[in-house]
Amino acid sequence: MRSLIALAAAMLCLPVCAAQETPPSSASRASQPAAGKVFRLHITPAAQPVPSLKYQLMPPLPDQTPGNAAMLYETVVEGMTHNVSPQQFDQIERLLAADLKEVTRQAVTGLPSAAPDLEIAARRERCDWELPWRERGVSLVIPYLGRYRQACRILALDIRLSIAEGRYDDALHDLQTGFAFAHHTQGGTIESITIADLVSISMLSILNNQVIDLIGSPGSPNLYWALATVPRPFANLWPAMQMERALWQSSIPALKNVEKAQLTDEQWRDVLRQIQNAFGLPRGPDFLPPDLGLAAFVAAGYPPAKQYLLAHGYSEQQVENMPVIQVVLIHQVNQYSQWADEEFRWFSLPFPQAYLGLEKWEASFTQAVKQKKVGFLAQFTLPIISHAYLRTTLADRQIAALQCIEAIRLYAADHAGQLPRRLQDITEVPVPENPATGKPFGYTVNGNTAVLEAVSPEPTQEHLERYELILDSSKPAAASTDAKGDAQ
Amino acid sequence: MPEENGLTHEQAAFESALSALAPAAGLISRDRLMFQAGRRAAGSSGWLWRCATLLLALGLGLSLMPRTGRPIRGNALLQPTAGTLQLAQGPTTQPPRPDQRYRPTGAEYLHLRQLVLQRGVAALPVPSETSSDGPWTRGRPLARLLNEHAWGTDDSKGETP
Repeated sequence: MRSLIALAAAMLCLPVCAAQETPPSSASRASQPAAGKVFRLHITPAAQPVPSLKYQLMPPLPDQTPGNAAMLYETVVEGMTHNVSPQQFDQIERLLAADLKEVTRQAVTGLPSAAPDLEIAARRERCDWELPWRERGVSLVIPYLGRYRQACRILALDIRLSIAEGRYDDALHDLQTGFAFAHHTQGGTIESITIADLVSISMLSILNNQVIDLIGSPGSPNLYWALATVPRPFANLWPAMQMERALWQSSIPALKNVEKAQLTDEQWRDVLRQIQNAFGLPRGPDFLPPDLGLAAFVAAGYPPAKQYLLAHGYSEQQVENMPVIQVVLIHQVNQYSQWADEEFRWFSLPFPQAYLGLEKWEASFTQAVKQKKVGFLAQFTLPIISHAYLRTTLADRQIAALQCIEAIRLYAADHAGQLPRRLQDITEVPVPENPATGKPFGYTVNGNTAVLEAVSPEPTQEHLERYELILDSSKPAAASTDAKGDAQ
Repeated sequence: MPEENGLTHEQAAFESALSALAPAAGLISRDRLMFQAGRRAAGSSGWLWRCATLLLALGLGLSLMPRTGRPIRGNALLQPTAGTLQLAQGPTTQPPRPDQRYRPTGAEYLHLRQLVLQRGVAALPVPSETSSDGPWTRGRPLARLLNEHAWGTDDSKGETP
């Protein structure tokens, strides 16, 4: 062992490249220009439907069928997206961004339709990818989720055409398919992975744009209760964070019990090579054999690792008797666990409570990296995971904002087509709060125009969303119907 | 005129002369011959072994010379490039075990996750749109495939049975 250290120390005199990638800091996010989005909607008063749950954006349980939708989705999505040309995808994108009146039967001629194929899969009780993350860890191979977003866009165009043609019931049925499809993409509520959660909320965003179009269409039904039944949080990151927390133990079995593992020197070197492969650790110049790079890496990591073990109950003799690589890896794994827990614990709290904690974590982590107090395992895997919580919360925020708009339409239907002066004036239904802040949405009104503002905790407000609502009371309101179907 | 045993007079005389001969002591010692043979055998392959040793030494020295930083695991040569997998099968004298035929680079999920967190889900890779599946492309309705197989039509030309 000592000869290995001596050799490695000699190698340190050589120009071994040890550049390490520094994780992005919160400052880089703050420097992005504040953009935000503005949605302009012409809304009409709309009373609650009768029965209240006539419209639902997730398939009701009696409509669901037993079984796992994963294989159905894989087959359908693969076939659907494989046979669509890049030109057709461009046309779909153009029509999704165009004004609603441009979406006509003629415009969509030749483009694929997603609704019939997805309908069956979306009404399965569950979707479980059965990913072997416990066995594969960082080597996990996941489905091509990019195709799922493409399929969602194809479905969104189906929905958009239905809205443009006034077929609101068809649009709502396909929206139900879409919301279930997006939710299923997460892969289940028990086990999930971060990427699948983020793709899921990206699909939700595509569908929400169609809900906005529907709300802004004359005579559209009130969707307050339909939106209320959408799962919140739409993507719960806690299962994925538990997987992230056990990432290393899943990836390399020797790290599961690194302190007690009894391996030979060669076996420990193999463990290190596996980690090197997983992360692309610095290999040194090409003219050196790769193991020399590892040796240099271990030599650099040994002194702080030894200090760490001595400070945490190990005796000098115990440390001396341990293989050098094991000493280094014990330090790395423990450091990872410590930093990981301090980050992931915030995911168990509501976002408004978690946000400041995550910001502080990121600042202290960035500082520790600069001071070279963070090992490579933590450094290469932990940064910017906190961004995922913000993104899922923004998706929930949009659902809540749309629910708020429907509450305003309800009020207008009950008050002769008048907008509420304040959100607190709405008593017909509870008005949801902004889940990103835990506070009410911003609301101002001027005549028949209201502005609903959805802020986020970030100082830059780069994710601000503003809904400009122009109430048109002259258009026929969406009629509520009694149980017999007679209009009131 | 042949004799009684079938030999001519001259042949019989030759036979008689041969029978008068007595075996002489051999000039070659069997034991010595074996010894010499063994000695010569050892001596002649000695240079072979020396050459083989030299070649092995050279080979060992060459193996310690500059090489690219590619990790070698089992029979597979792994090239861990970000986001892609390239697998080249090295020389092997026996069929690879199932767990050696395919070894991912080791970080697919991690690379994808970092990509998505940094650039958004739009950065997720999508498989190539080109297909070499021929007429049996994925996702085609079964009825259409069966029709094409039965009637030999090419759907891309718009022909129907």
